[in-house]
Amino acid sequence: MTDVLKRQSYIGIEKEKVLEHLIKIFGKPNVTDKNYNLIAYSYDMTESPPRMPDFVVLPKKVEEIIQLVNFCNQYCIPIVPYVSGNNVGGLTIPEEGGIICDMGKRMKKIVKINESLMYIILEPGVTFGQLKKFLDDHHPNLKYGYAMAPPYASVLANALLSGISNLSTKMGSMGDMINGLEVVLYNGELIRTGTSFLSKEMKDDNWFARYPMPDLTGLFIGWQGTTGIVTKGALQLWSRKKYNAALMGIIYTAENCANVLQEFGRSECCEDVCSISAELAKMVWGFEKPQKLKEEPDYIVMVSLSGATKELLQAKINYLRQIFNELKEKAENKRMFLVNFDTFINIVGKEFAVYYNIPNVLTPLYEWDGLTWVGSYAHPDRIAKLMNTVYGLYKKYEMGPMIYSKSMKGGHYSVLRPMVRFQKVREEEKVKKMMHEILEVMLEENCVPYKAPSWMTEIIRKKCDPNWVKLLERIKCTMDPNHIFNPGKWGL
Amino acid sequence: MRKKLIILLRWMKISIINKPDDILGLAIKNLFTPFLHDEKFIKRINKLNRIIVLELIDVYPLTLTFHEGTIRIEYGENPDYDLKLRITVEAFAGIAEGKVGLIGALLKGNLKVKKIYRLLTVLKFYRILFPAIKKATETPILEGVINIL
Repeated sequence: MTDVLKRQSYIGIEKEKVLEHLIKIFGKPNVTDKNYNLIAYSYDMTESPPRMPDFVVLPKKVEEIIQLVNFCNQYCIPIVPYVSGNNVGGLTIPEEGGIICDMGKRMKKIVKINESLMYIILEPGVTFGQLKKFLDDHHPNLKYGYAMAPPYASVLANALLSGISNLSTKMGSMGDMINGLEVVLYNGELIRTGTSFLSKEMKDDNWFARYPMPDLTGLFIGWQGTTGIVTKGALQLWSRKKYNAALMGIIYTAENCANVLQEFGRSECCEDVCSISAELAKMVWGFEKPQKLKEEPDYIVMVSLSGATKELLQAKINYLRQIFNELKEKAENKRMFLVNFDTFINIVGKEFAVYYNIPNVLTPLYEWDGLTWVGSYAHPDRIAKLMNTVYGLYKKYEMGPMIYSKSMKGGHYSVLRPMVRFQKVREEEKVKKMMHEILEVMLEENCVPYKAPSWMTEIIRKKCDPNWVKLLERIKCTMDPNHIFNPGKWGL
Repeated sequence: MRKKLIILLRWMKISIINKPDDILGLAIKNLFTPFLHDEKFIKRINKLNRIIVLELIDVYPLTLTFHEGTIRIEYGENPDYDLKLRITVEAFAGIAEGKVGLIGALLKGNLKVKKIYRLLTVLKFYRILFPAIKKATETPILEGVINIL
């Protein structure tokens, strides 16, 4: 473990008193200040510097969180909301110490599902695996957008951080899936955003939309827990169709790959269109140090779609095939092929099914102790250029290029995510340099990082409109005058 | 006696003696692996002491060296091949999905054979590769997904 700083006291209160108070709120078994417990919360897989929290609490009820916030606000004690800590951005590392509010252990309730209005109300601890099982078992006609993330990742945190899912090509950012939120504000007030604002009392039957009133939900999306503690969220579900298909593109050149992503995204036929570099594909098949050989395809594109009838699904597939053939016709390099996903993985190796059967753990990504990325929203027409430039940077730093991309919201935008797994002791400094360089390239092409770690937001703040930063800071001061919520994130 | 024993051992098992470092090589390895103890497969392999190049057209070639009960799978083309098969990606997938047969692929030009005068080798290799592909794709992996491309 590298250096970790510890905070000894807060404004007007000693650490021992804090412990006593926390035990009063949560009960002794749900509070810890022991280093052997705290250390797990002090770091993540990324290059973000570790920092020890002073306490970890495990809330079960919203009332406990209200008491916690009131107490912390009185003594200016930082609170860091936490669920599973696998955000790949250092977002739950307590940069100024304080209390980790771990909602992943005891706030795991699916509060309500409304089949008719197609939304579900969840506590923060509900995981993708839990939600998928619940819907498969009890509401098989409905589905949610599952992230390319482990099954133990938080559904609500993914949405709050504008994550992506296997419905994003159709629906866009997961932040757009939020109908409304229940949030504890700095002064202990409990508020609701979205259409549930209409009643004076908390009711769970009116969370059907986010608009048309002022969109206060936006005060909590992308803010990385710096404006309040979200205790519930109402999320959109979608009708699950009877017939499903999955295709795979075997593609040479970044230009061809980007064209397929963009045009398939715009076709409005696909729920998901994403691509991975050959090295990332080979990693899943168990190649030890995956390198693309000269004649191997550069990218694999994965497509999923569905239809209420077989005919409808067939029509969509025919249209995609037509688009693909037209792209091939126009392409400078005509080495691109479209096959059935299932046939391909049956022949090459079924390990690849993890890219379709999500949520799932891409085990090789977690093989070493380090994992990081520069995940960004990007211009679809700049993806090819970015892929090529970023690929060159991987080669410069002698790292295996792991480039993931996705068409978003009917082709309105894309996500480009250069990832790297690494050994912290040996490679961290090199990875930091490479990530900085990749970020510079991506910002130059107007990409906007999501789930951005603090080092990245610092660079973004220097580059962006100063009035935007001023507004950000003013809102933060209003929402959190004593700077208790996850301090340090977004430079706030 | 010793010679008989060696022959018997060869008939019992064959092996892939290297770890391919490319995707197509991995595919061939995965296709053959379930058959390494299969009696019919072993007989066929043992009868085939040949170097065969299998090329997915517009992708890349692979060299398969069958030698005394062993198989070596290598990226690229060995120019000393005994037989070379060139097949389109679509035809390869079509065979796996049961939509395309050997004759059909040949007639439509989706499968091209160099040194076709080694017809017996073509047939022997066909009887090794194609059942392996078909077997691999018998059971769908992705639940609830239909192959309708």
